[in-house]
Amino acid sequence: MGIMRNCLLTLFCIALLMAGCNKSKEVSIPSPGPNSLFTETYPLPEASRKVMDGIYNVTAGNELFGDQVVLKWSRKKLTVMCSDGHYLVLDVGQLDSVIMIQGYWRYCYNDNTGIASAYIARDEGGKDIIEANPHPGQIIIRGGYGSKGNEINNPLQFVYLRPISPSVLNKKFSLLAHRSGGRTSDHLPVSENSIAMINFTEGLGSTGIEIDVQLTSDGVPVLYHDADLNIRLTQKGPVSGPINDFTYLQLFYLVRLIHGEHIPRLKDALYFVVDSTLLTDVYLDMKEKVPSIKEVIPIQKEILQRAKEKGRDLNIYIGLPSQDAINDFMSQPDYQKIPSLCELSVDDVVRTNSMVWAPRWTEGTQDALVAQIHGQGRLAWTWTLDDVDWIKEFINNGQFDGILTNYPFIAGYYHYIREN
Amino acid sequence: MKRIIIIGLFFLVAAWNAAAQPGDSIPKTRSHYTLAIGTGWSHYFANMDIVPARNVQKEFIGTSFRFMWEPEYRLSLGLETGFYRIFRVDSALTSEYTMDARMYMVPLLLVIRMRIVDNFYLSLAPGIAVQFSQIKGIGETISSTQYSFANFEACASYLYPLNKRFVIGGEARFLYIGKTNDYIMSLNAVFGVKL
Repeated sequence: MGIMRNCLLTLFCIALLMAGCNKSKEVSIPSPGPNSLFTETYPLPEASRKVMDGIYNVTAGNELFGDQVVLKWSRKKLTVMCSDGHYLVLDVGQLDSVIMIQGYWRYCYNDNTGIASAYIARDEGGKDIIEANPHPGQIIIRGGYGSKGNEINNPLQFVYLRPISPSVLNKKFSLLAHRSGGRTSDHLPVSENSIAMINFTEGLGSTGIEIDVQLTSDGVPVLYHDADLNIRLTQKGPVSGPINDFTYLQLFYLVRLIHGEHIPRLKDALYFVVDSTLLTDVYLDMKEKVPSIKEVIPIQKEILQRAKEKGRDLNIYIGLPSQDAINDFMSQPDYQKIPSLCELSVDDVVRTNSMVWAPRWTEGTQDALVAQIHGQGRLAWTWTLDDVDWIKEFINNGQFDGILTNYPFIAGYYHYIREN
Repeated sequence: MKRIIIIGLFFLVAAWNAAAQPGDSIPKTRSHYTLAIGTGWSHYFANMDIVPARNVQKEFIGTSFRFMWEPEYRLSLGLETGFYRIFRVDSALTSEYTMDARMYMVPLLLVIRMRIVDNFYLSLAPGIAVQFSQIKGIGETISSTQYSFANFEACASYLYPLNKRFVIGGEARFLYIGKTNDYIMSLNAVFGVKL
């Protein structure tokens, strides 16, 4: 009896330990499938898209999406931003005078997701949108969403209330998405710090990104967050250990990010930003283990020159997170002219002539210091703010010019819904 | 639901185990220390996403060293270390590049061992490990070291006393390396000496 009991106890402990070591589950984006009517639609022109931007009342589906939502177009997706962390990422096309909409919804704090499909009838705003009427009489989006799998079983209806306030649109407020657009740990369909994520993030409502910069052993700045190659961020492969130990070529051939992407070079990522997105701000978070500012400055300069040639409104700031980084930065020639972002004190911002002051959000709204920074013609951003209540507090009662967050759609909701 | 079942099972086993020990725990030996050396076959359970399992060399010779404190009772405590080659990957990546990647490991584990019946033991051992990897074939050879802090070993041993001082036997062990999510098993021949 005693032997059996001890064996069982041993086996139970092993089972418990092994169960605890399982990798977290994947969350796949639901898809309407190949028979969707959507495949027959044409893309909406830019002018028509702007008509759809605005504040909408939720008249069906408010148990999930709240009473009001913000609809905002990005480069190629329509994002529906809700007050509590729900969001929808939608594709929109036109078929005759009907606007067809489909995509998925997701809740950012857990893995809940489902399909969404809707339309705007011709006489319920479809005609106004297609004709790009800047003052639409009414827009009613009717459809449904699913709560499990690909089945649509709940009604959805958004009714246009008002446009986004011109004073809000004209005020530059940066919605900066963390780790090139979103975290791997939030079970997004693409990997953090990848070019795929940069391509994906505008659909979440972001207007800028923060990316993590590390240096390979042969001096190539690459995008990667952790100090070492690990199974949290990369697929299981033959290479592991500190990322700074390996050359770029070794990383290219032997390492894949968790969704199969390569670890990108900073240069390639920034070329993608300038050539293939509408993002306006890039915050280069310099990881401290290996100084990389000297290698990053020429890349920053090259990309900013390209943006200028293309007439792109793009800012790239080198992050200065520590006194060592500041010392390294200030040892560079003409450092005062290099666009930078300082995370330390206001005095350090002045010393480094940083364009942006970026204190962590836990230090509060710091209204007096933010006003001082504004008085010097600089910007103030805060990081990394993910809680709904705090995002609301900082946007409604703070004076910051941007928020770095893993959930840009929440910050977007509270920003765009303001009346002035 | 799965969590509730696991928690329920935990309390069930805990309650069962909380009963008083029966009288069979009368000491059979005196407290002593044992040093044991084992060596034998080790096998890596290839689980790489980006390298096919057929391209991974998985069979190696591994070595273990155990230092145990064995009191008069069933349970004994000790430290274990060893040296294991985990895998070797040797393949052509492109017409231009080949790769030779190897990983080795030195664990340091706290062993909790229980004598189940005479000469037969089960042990569990959590601990740390140092992992060494070496990459050849793309540019310069890179050697890299990292630490794994969440490792676990389960081991079944049969140790036959040759006399009052020496034991021989065999061990089957399963080792999990948390940092890299690697698993190996080994079958070792063991020689031990009571100090």
